[in-house]
Amino acid sequence: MAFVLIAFLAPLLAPWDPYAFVDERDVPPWTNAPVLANSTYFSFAPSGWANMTYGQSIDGRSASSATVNDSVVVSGFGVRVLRDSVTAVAYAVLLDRSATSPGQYLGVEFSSDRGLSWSQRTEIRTVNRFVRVDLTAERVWTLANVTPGAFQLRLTHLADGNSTGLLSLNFASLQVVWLSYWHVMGTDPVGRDVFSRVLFGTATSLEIMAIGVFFALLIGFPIGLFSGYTGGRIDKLLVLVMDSLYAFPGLLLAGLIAVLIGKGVVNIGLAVTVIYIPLYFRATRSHVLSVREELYVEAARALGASPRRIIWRYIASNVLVAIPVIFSLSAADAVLTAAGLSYLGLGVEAPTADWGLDLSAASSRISVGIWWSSFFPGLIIVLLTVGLSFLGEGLNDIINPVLRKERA
Amino acid sequence: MARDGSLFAYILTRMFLAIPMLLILLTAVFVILRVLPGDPVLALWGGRSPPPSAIEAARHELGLDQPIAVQYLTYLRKIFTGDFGVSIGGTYTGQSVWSLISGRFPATVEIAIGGMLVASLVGIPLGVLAGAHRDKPVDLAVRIFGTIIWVIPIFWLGLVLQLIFGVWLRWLPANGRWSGADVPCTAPSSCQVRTGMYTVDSLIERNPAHFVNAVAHLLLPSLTLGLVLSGFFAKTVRANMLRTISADFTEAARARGVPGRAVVYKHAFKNALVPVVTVLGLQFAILFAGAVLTEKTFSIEGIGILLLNAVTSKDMSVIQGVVVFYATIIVVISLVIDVIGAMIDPRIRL
Repeated sequence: MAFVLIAFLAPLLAPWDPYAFVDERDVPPWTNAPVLANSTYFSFAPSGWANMTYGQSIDGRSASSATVNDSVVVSGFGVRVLRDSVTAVAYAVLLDRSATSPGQYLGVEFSSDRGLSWSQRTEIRTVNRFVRVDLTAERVWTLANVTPGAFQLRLTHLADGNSTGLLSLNFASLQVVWLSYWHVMGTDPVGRDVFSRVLFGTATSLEIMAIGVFFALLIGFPIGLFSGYTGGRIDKLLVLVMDSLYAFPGLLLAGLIAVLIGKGVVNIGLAVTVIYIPLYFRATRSHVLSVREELYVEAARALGASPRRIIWRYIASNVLVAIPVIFSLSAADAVLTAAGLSYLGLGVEAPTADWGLDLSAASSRISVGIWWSSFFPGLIIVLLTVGLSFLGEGLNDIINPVLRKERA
Repeated sequence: MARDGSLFAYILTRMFLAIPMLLILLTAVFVILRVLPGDPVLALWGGRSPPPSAIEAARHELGLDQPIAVQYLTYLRKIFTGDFGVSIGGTYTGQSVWSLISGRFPATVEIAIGGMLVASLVGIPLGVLAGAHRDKPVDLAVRIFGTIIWVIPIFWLGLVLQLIFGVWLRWLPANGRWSGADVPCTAPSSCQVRTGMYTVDSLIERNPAHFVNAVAHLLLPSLTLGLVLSGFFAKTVRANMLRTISADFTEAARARGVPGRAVVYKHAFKNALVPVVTVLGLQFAILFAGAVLTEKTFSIEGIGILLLNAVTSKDMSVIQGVVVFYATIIVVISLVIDVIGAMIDPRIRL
């Protein structure tokens, strides 16, 4: 029951939007994990510098300047910082030795307010090695200082004495370390909050289960009633058909049907139905067989009640007593089947929040030790199915005290 | 030899009953694949709309232009003559369906047998223990274990085992069937028969290192599948133990002064196993479904993965072949189980 509540309250309970990429990918649960964001510049002001796009990647090609004291402003560092929790900021530059003439070096100033104010100039003479300049202590950093556009670097071609020549910049980047949000169950491989998705997945799971079990009951129960009451050749044929269906791996049958009728919560529910029709049929039929011989049915028949009336009035109501038990047991199984289908990629489609789907999407991360994004959706399946089957056994004991005594 | 005669008669009757069961499954497959929406020819073209002439040609080649009754009969005739056709699209285009199935079946058999083994080794002793100590803490623990493990998703258990033993502890390989390139019996001369089951093959070529390799890869999948099934085994054995333990013959043994332990294990346990065999036979359907999930979790190229790939690429002939194959196996297994049951317990034959 708690799960039904969760399904309805999910929008209120969920700390995050289950479909939005709210945080860094693969953030472990229960921590504010430090995340390193690193990006080169994506825009630069017109200047005397040539081939500025070459400075965006470490590929041996360089942006270069031939005139001393020429400056270029680069900005648009595309660092992905999602939370105002910047703990470290640095920039890194790499000068190319082979294309840099002796005596030529780089002067770097940074601005964290879209170029309104600039820092002191830092001279960089090291070539062919990354120079990382830590700016953390320079000021109080906030998210607004490092968003693309706000952070800028002014690169100036400097030279010793009167020497002239080429200055080549192979790469320049901004590095930001920030703390991720705190997540109960971490985030998945695309940065969505696992806990929110687990909450929203409850509804998906329960919907499929309810549709599957309800339609199975709707179809299997009347057929079982009819078959059990009438008996004869039709009964034998129906039993044979149902037994054959029952013997076939349900998951595969449902998967086959799911693929053919399309994916969607309702369609998957219907595919799951097919598995449980034989179950309800068998259970109903076997109960009918025992109830049919009861005295009150005999009496009704003797009094001239029509078969239809006997079936619905006297037999159905007595057989219905047994249904809740099968219902909760098959419900647990339906949840498992639905999860199995989406795990195999035959169930509901992404990006629907679904336990099986999330588990499957994250399962490849297990091999690198990222367990939370697949562990928790599975754990919630276990909780629901265990709950349902204990509920079923409890109901069984309440409804069938006779049976319990017999078994004991 | 009246007794043998009746057993033989039972087997014959049972076989006659198996034929309609198989027919129903075959018909269900046919109906599902032909009548339900999802055109295989269109699927062949991967969503692009093919020229009408190509559609016609493909339909003709697949026999889809004939009336449905003719299609049905052709389908049955082909299956009973063992002609499964060739793959018509997707991953396996042009390969013979039969060779696809027989190439992947050994991997599935290994998992299935391994799973059954684990399930028996874990489930049966637990069931006996619970049955012998009814309503004691042991019994309660086993019952709770049985209920919980039975509803744990196989793939989740697999992932957890993979994580613990494959990634954290690094005791066992987390994926696949084999490490290295030298799968057993690759050299044609090394073995006379090649089963495709790496454990058996490595024994045939008498290579202990290969055997260890094969078993190490098999361990986690078998454990995954077996543990889930063991819950059911334990419950069934327990229920039957309770019945036999209070049965007249057990009472009689107790009255004769047979010690309690011997009563439990000799009289009650042996008799409890008979119905268990029959019930376990029914679990093969679940075993196969579980094997698909296990194969996917441990990236094992078995028959389940074959079916999965065929289903996602709407490769009709492979789907049909695999499903028919499954259906046949299930019918045959249920036949065999029933016969075994009849051999153990003469009452069934009546």
